Formats: sequence, structure tokens, C-alpha cells
Amino acid sequence: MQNDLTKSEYILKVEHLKVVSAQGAELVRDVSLKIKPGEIVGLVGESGSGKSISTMAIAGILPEGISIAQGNIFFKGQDITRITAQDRCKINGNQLGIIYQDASQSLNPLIRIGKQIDEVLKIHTNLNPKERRNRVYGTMRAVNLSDVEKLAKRYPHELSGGQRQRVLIAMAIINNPELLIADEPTTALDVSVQAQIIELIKLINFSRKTSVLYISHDFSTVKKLCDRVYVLYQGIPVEVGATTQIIMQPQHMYTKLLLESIPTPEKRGQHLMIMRARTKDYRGSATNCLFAERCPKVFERCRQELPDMYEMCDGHQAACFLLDK
Amino acid sequence: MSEKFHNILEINNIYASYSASLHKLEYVLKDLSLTMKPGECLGLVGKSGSGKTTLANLITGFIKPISGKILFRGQEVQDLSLRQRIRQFNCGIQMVFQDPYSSFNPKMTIGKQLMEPLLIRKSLSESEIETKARHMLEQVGLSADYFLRYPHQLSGGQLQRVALGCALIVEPCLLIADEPVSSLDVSVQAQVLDLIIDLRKEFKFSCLFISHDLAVIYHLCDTIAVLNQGSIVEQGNVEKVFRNPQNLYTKQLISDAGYSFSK
Repeated sequence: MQNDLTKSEYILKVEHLKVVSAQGAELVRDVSLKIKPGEIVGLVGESGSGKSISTMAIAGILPEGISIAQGNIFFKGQDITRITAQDRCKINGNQLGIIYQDASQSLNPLIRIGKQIDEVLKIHTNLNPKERRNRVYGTMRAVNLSDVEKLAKRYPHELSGGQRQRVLIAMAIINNPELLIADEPTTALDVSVQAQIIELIKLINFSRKTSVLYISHDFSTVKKLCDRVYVLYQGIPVEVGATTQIIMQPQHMYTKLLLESIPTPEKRGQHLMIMRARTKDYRGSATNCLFAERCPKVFERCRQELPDMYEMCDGHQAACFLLDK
Repeated sequence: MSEKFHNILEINNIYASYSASLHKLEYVLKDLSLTMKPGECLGLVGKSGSGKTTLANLITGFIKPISGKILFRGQEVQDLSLRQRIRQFNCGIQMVFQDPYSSFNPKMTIGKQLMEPLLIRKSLSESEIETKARHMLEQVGLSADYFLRYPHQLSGGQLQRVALGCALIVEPCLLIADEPVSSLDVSVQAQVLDLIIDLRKEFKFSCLFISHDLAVIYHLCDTIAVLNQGSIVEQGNVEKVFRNPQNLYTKQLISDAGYSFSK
């Protein structure tokens, strides 16, 4: 159809996505994002900014009562906003792999690891049991698990947190997906394991040319991993750009203050927080800049209109009236 | 109390284990020794499973060591029950936990929970306690109308403030904070860290700060102790350890955290 043109250009294209709850609260207001083949894109925001809900909408796994009110999601040029469960099954686990935040809750405690990884192959491929077993072992080795024959026979509770997260990654990538969604895959892990998982995602992206959508509230991991970053505030992207642009030259006040609140060696023992605390989540539709209540540089116009995205230089955009020249 | 002590806390050759059988002990902490000076803020780092929380639980008396001594303000406390500790020290050790949502009774108002630690001690009248609790609420940066609210009406960051208030209302000399900012967003984490810095100036308590986030430790603490597989592998001034780690494991930890200095 009309989207054949975009087919090769973007793996994932989200246009003006709006997600509402049954009570009419706007959880995601207006999210547009694009991911090119082979790109690692970060989605950063505080809790309640709508980053997880956006990814759930993309993966078609929105909880009961929450639905997409507006907008379209294109996966490889195909509109997947409102597809049937059957069609969804052909995409999820096959061309689209998902890693969830809590590894201990995402695995079935009663089924051996090997069998759980194998399940994805059983559903999506016609391989015979032997081929499947080889592929399971191969993928487990690819995510740096050792002694895989033994490990495959274990149950989830016999594995460490890092190992479980690797198993989840193995499940997500076993069918060589074109897009990997990683929803805060490292938050429950300690620094050393965190660093290993980030390296692993990088490696998968490099060796398999998998695009990655990485969701996190942690700038330190985003910095190491992502090519481009979307900063989300209350369901609206407020700044988009290459990771270095965002981190070195943030333009939106929210991004600036968020980066300043990270402890660094220079600020040792000093106060970090200059951003006003968030009073309450506003759930109606946005008619003015939502960050206005916390912004130190707020002026009249911010309280009256909703700012557009202003482009600074190649792809670096921010939604702030201060940039309107 | 007028007894003399150099260290607010002294832990000597402690062994701890969770295994039930004495014949087959698996030690969580092995021959661990640690000292803390009055007013010091000590950061305790280590991987998950290294025994950080076990150490905290030993100091507070939730669990008992297999062997070894714990001296708090110069007195041996490892064999005292929680009740004896309250009587002897008016509970000089207080704790703040990682998950603020599970630290509070959902059916009690915030004000009541702030008053609870003092009510148990029965040293003040109820109206005095209420005045103190209201004052404490203010000190942790929450307005007076939070006094009558219930925990579910507060955000994680606000609850963690109340948790700090609950701990500090009895004026402890040692505060143990077990990953108090790990479950919070960066901006909220920054607010709570700022609050801890302010409260330390105000109340002058010693602090054992447990975290796996090295940036937070560097920001807040004077000294650092690195725990690996139940033993302390390196201890010293934060600045020195970060700039020039001696132990291999510490080196690995600091490089994993991607921590670099401008100089």
C-alpha cells in the first residue's frame, strides 16, 4: 500500500501513538519514533513517563483495559497497530524479540531452561528435534552461557540472576529477530553483570545486525549502548538526538536537569537536585508544555501552548519554546 | 552514657551462616572485620550475594553470628536480644530498607508510623511525640498534610523520605541504609541523596550506606569497604580507593561501573 516506500528504510516506525486507559487517562500522549535497520535506539524517562506502555503497544501486549486510541505502528512497513492475535503470533518471538525487566518472573519455574528456549523454535520453525537442540545449545553459547548441556536441564531457580537474564536474551534472539526490544534488562542486576549484559546486547547488534529498542531510566547504560536516544516526559518525547548530542549538549531543560541529577566525581558531597519535584501526574490531554510546572526557565508561552519539536542540527530535536527563533 | 569508645562500631572476625546444620556450614561471612569511627559515613559495596545485607542484619541484631564479636559504642552486642538493645541503647542503630513500599504498614497513617518508634519507648507524652513527628515530617521535606495520609497515597521517593524520618526520630548514632535509593528514578534518587546529606549535617549520625552503585557511594561516603564472597577485600578512604584501587576485585568493580575521573 502507501507504506511500501518506507519498507526498507525503517524497521519500526511509530506515528503519533496515543495510549489511553479505560478511565480515559492518557498514558502515552503523542509518541513518534523511528528505528533504522541495525540501529540501537534508547528510550529514556522517569517512571510514569510511558516508556514501558509504549513498548507494550509496539509488542501488542497492552494490559487489559488499556488501548491504543490514535496513531499507527509500522513494523517493516506493515501496519501492526490493530492486527489479529494470529498475525501477532507470527511476528512476536520470530521477527520481534522481547526481553523483559524481571528475569525471575518471565520464566516458568516448572519447566527446564532448555525446553523453555526450545518452545520458541517449536512454534516458529519446522526444524526436527535434533536440529532444534543444536540451535538451542548454539544460542545459549552465543549469549555466553557455559556448560550448556547441563544448564539446559536446570530449572530457573537454580540459575543466578545474570544467567536467567542471558536465558531470556537467548529466547529473544534464537529466531534471529530483526528488532529486539529490551525493557530495562539490567535494572535488577549488579554493576558487573550489568556491564556484561550491555556488552552482549552490543555484540548481538553487531553480529546479527539486529535493531534494538532499549528502554531505561539509567543514562550510564544508555551512554554505553545507544546510537540515538528519545527522552520521554509524561508520554511525549521532549528531546531526540544522537546519544553524544543528548549527553554532551542537551537542549531541553528536562534533559539537562536529568543529566545533572546523576552523581559525578566533580559534584561529590554537593546537592544534586535543582529540579522541582513533580507534584502530581497530569493525566488529561496536553494543552501546554507539561514540563512547565518544574522548569526553572518557564515563561508565559509555556503555560499556553504545546511546543513543537524544534530542530537544531541533523536529527537533534527538542520540544521547548526557548529554541524557537 | 560516659563509657569511652574509639569506634562507634567494631566488628571482629565475624562468621555468619544461614545453614541449619552445624556440621555442614556454608559461611556467608567469613572472618570479617570492620571498624567505623563516630560521624563517619561508610559505603559498603559488593555484588549481589556477597553478604552486604547479611552484615547489616548482623549489626542490627536480626540474625546472630556463629562466632566473632560486634562492639557498638564499646560494648559487645552480638548476644543481646532486640529488646535488650532498646533498653540499653534506646535503639542507637536504625535501619532504612531498599523497598519503601513494603517498609510501611498500609493501614496506618504516615503520622502514626512516624510516632510509633517513640510511642514504644514511652519516654515522652503523646502530644510531645506528635509535635516531634510533625517536626520530623517537615525536616524530611514533606508538608504537614502528609501526616494524615496513607502509604499508598505517596510516591516511592516520598515514602523513602518518611522511612528516613522514622529512623531518625529516635536520634540514633548509627543509621544503616540498605540500598535506599536503588529502586528510585535518577531525579528522585538525587532528591533523597540531597536529603541524606542535609540530615547528616543536622543529626550528625554515623552511616553505613550499602549500595551497588559506586557513583552514589563516591558522592556520599567518606570511606568505603568492598565486600567479596563474605570477606572485606579492601577498605579505606573513598577518594584513595577510587583513584588507586589495590585489590583486583575492586579494580574490576570500578572499571565495570565505567567510573572515570577527569584528572
